[in-house]
Amino acid sequence: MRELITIADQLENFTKELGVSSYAGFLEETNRSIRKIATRDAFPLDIFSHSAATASTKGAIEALLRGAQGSEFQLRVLHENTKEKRVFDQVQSAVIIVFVDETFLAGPELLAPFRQNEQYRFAFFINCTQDEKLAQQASRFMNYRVKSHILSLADIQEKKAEDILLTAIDAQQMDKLKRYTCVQSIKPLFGFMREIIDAENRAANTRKLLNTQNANITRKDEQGMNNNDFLQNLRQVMQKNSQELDKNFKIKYEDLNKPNTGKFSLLSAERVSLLEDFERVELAEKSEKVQTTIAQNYLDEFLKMVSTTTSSELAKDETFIKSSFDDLLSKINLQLKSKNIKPLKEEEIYIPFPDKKRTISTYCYYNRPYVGEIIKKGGMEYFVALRDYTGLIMVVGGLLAPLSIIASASESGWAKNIANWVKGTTAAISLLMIVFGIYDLRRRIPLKRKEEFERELTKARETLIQESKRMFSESSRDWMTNISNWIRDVSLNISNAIDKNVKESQNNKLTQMNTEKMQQQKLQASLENILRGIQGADRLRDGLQNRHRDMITEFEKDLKL
Amino acid sequence: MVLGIDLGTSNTVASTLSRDGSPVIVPDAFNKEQETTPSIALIDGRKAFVGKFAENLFEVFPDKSIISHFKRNFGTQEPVYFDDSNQPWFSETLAALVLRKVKYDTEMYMPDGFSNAVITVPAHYNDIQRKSVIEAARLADINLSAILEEPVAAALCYGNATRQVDDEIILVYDFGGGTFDLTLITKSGSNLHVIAKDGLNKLGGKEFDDIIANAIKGNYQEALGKSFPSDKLSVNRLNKIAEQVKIEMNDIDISRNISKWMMFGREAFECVFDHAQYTATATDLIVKTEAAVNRCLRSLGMQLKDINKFILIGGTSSSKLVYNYWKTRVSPNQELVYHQPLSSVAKGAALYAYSIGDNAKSAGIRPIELKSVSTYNIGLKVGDQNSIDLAVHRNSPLPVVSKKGYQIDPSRIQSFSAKLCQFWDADSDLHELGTIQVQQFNTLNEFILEIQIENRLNGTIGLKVRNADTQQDIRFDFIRKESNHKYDYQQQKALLDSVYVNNYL
Repeated sequence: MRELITIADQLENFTKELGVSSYAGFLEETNRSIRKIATRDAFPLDIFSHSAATASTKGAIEALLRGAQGSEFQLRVLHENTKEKRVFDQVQSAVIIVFVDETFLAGPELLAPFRQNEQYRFAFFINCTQDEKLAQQASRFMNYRVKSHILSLADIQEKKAEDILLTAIDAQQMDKLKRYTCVQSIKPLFGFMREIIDAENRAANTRKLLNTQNANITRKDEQGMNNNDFLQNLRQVMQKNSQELDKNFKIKYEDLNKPNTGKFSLLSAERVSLLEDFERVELAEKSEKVQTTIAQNYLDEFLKMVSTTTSSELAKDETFIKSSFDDLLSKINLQLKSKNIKPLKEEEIYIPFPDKKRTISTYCYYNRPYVGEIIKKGGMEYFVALRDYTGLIMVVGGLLAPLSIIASASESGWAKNIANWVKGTTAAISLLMIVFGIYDLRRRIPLKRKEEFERELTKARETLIQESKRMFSESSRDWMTNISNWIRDVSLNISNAIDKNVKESQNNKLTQMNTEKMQQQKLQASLENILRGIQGADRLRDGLQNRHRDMITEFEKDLKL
Repeated sequence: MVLGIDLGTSNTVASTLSRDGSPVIVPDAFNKEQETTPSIALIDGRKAFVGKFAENLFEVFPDKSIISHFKRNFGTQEPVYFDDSNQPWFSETLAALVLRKVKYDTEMYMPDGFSNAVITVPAHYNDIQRKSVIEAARLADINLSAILEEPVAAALCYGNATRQVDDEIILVYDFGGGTFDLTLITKSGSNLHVIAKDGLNKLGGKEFDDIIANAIKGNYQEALGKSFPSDKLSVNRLNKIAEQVKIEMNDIDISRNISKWMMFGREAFECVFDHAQYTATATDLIVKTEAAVNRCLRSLGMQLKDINKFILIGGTSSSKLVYNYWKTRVSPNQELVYHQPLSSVAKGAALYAYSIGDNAKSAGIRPIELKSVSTYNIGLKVGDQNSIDLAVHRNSPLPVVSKKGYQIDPSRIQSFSAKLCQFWDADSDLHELGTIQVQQFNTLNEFILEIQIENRLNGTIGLKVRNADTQQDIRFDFIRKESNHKYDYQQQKALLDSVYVNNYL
């Protein structure tokens, strides 16, 4: 059928106008269905009878069915409870032959399911009863634009379906009726086309609105690309962090180095208290004395204690500073992430941490080791101790000299007695003094030895404490300078990395925004195109529907409907 | 300014007050004609389309499901939807999407924004469902002042428009898109007394849609000899068409069948809707609501004839089918009122929001005093027992506090657990809200463990566990339903914040 093929062709154009739609498959299938209808030779006719129709009705229907065999007429028998559904690729009959028998006594409502379709244009009511009113009632029931004809059962005796049609139309119109049947079958198409256009139109307009919104978002993002405040804020965070770290370390080392109460002082004092003896070395130029030094293993242990304590504190700093900076980095990265800026990478930020071993090896050494002297133990101690009796010896000697002169002055008389008395007394005094001297020396020398040892020990301990104090404070100072430099350098690295990433992000964003803008423009153009296509499709649909309506009108005019 | 939101199963409506104090509907920011937001969403990657946007775009995304009726999942703690990244979306999160859209509309409509917001909930909602609505508001960054029951809001709106309702018994019949609610109310001046409530959780317009959807599927099967396609586009279209046909069927005056040509997938066929059959099935649903009405009245020793006014609200109530049904049930001296069935709830919520706000206080307006009753019986199921220890009777004036004591011997038991339940009928309609679990008793002596249950004015439940002998609080856990996908506020908030809603949020 040329008319339907034209419609199918136009439907293809309609599909092209819509482009990518959710209904392309459906339109393709519909196109195929229209072409299928157009090429069908069959002429469908519907026959209605009650499911419990009389034998004569059934016989007449059987005869019609037999007569249609091998012809173009395709008869379909319907009953009041027929549930056959119409699908689009079926040709819908425009003619119905209704067998009105006694079963219609219940009323013509049996035909209700077939009335609402409004597909029939010719209805033949075959009166199979004696009562003509039943057929008239039935014909009135089909009250829309149907050309009704009432025939009797006798009228169709020995006749075929074609003959029944010929009672209403002439032979030349038969083909037109057949074509009309096909053309009217595609009527639902225009409803579908309307539905598709509305859906596509809604979707395209909504997408257009969304695209406009997208453009607004991009514009707002563009306005918000100035990151000065953001950067200023980040710098303040970093500065605060550095200052706090510096301050904390200053306070920490001040506390550690406090005399008497600081950890370093306490540890030194505790360790120094363990020093109880010296190493003794003979001195060639001073035979009465020996040189005292602190044992090397003690010195080593002491130095090790200072190094270990310092090292442990420095190690703590490393851990603390690194974790502080890790926290700072996390905070910064979180803020950068919120702005869609690439986060900072640790490897770009951290420089090698100051070497604590170097600091320790530089400052943990003995600058002025302790060296002392004590009197050599033995006879020399006595000689040295005798120095303490010099005055006494001079007085006693001075006293004994005149007495000796007196004792040797005369050999006679009272002088001799005096001389003897003096001799005896002098001998007794000398003996007493020797005894006292020995006794006193034996008592005094150990005391003196102890005092001297204690004095040297205190001196040695003082020296050690001073040395440790120097080592701790110099190491701390050096370390603080090192970590201050480290903090400053790392902060600078962070600042530079932020600037770099922000710039990079701005550039990326700018590129992305330009791409987005271009995509939005493209999408806008594409949507405009789609909308133009939809308008074109709508016009095509209107044209097709008008054409279809004209065809129907022309057929109906020709068929005198 | 204030905001009242009727967060419906099918549609969401927002309202505010104009300068003269009259409630007005907040329209869509881009289409002033559109006063309701369909409570649906469509999620595509980092974009979420809500309301009409989803409705208009679902055909562009044939591989995406329209997520609808999620309000019915409030309180289930099960995800409603999984997106492309297999992230679970809970009903609260989806509701928050709709609320965000509505909030945006409001901000566009009222440049000064709003200070008080009230969201309505069905009167028959249990504690978890009410808390889900509060959670949805929290996710949507809406500073919620109160939640209000939908029928009460409708009554407030009606009372505001009509002064002559004092000392009458009013039945607010709220048949919406997903739920059915009824509330008996009396009004006296600015006081509103709720005297009884009832409802059906899963009965609404959706069930009417299902009748039509099933008819379409049946017709498809008969016409084409194969089962209805299960692709998302066809299912989305089926639901939309079913809703449209339902509206048409509900409003037919004289019974007649409706015939429509339909297209699904690549097929087209004619679908015939048998009006008589539809009416019969739909009437069965309406009869269920009548049974609930009678049950509610019986609980107060009342009958249908004792009601002075029936106020019909909700989308389904606005159909002729429902109206005509009730027309045959009420006597001529009883008034069957249609009062803005689609907007009265939101307007009532706005009126309430204003009355409890600071502006009303400074204007010398007395706040609306609500006196409500408990919707459900509340009880405890201790241990493995099947029987329920009733703590709060339904229709008790709110707020109500009840205490239940249990003898505990710490030398014999290590822990104590009890299930908190809400119900109308313990056999057929039991809502297990969660389990109260006490793991440590902090004493070795026998004592009375006291569970205090407070049913607050907004219908939510508060719990306290204490040692009755020492009056010391006991630490307890409240464990809700176990689920494979645990709801996590932070995760759902992040998920919500990561998507653009309708490309502008």
